[in-house]
Amino acid sequence: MATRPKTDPYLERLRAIQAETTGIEARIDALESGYAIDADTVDKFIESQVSSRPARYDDFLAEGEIKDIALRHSQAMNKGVECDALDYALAAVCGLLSGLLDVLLVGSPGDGVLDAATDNMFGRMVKEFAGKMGWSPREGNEGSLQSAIGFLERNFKVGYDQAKHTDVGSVIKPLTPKNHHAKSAGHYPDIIGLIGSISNQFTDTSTFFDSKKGSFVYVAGTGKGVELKGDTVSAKVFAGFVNWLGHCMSDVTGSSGSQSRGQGLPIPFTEFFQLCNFGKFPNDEGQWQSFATVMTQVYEQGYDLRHGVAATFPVVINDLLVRAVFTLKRRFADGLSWEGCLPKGDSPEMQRMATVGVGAMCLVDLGMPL
Amino acid sequence: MTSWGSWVKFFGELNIAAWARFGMQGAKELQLAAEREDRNLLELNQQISDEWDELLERSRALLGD
Repeated sequence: MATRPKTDPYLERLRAIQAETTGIEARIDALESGYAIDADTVDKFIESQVSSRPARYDDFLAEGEIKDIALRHSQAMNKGVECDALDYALAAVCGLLSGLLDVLLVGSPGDGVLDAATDNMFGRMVKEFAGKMGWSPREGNEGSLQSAIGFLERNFKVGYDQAKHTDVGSVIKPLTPKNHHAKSAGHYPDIIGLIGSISNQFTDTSTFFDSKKGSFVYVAGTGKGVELKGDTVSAKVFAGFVNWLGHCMSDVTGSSGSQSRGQGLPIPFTEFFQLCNFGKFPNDEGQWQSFATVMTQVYEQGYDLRHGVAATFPVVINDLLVRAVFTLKRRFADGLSWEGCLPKGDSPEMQRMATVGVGAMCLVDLGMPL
Repeated sequence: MTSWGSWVKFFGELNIAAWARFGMQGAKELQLAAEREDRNLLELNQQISDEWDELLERSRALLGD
């Protein structure tokens, strides 16, 4: 900090002010002593005393003052999150425990305990929705999920439900019953799926993701006579929304003809994977596949919305554990009051512990397939 | 996954919710770090301004003496 290779305009200005005040002080002293000094003479003298080198901090500050400023500057720039080693350790332990829960209870799609639980939960939801929509099963079919799905499929038909590439003139390949939910934009249970579905219903088109090109493909004239009810545009939009919702409910637990758990809906916002036409991932036969192709096959293995919901349970437990240890540590180890220990979302320490916790969980998760 | 050939199995056994949460926390950490840097720089700027004002006051006090 002592020397600067370049001229600092602020220091130069300060030096100029200092020189001016020195000159003025000298003239005032002279006047007080009873004689006058010519201002130009004073200015020339002062100017000759000012060094030609660039102004430096030590021209104005003592060495101790400079060191004090440097220390305060360093402390200000390095001021960060005040988490101690115990905070990091506790957060990591929470993450490890949640990771173990993930390994033991979630596992591969369709295998874990939580998967079975969420499959049943979605099944109950579909039957309840169908009941509210007027499903009245025949005797003996009251608890039949297949019957409920069949009812919803008949009453919430959409024109973008093609399941084979021959249905779309082979513009999308491969399009199969196992992956058509992932390839069709309207089947995604998110805002993009909703917009795609309504626009397809209005325009009698189907929107698909072409993972080989990483782009959208529009197929026209596939409505099969499906017409939106309503006299006004807003009524038709509402009808389109209800159609989308009902059709999603008919597909979320697979189709009525599924032999096993079926192909549910894709996880929201994973449609972007379909556009990832990059990467070279070898398959078992040594052929190169893009990331989009790999993720489509992951979906075909059963990685659908039901499995996604099952996978959120360990994450929620991890968040709860981290917040609990944050509170308990500050109460019993730091001696704070209960109000001061509350895990507020904007606390940097809370956020850091949450990051460490979920990071530890991801490490365990990464270790599972390896 | 036991071999690098089975990428489908590898990605299929990852917890998408955990990794999405990790990504969001990472983005939040970057945002907080940027806010801390802004706050620290503003604090530093304020300290320099205060020092500057103090020097000016001392200069004016010299004139006033």
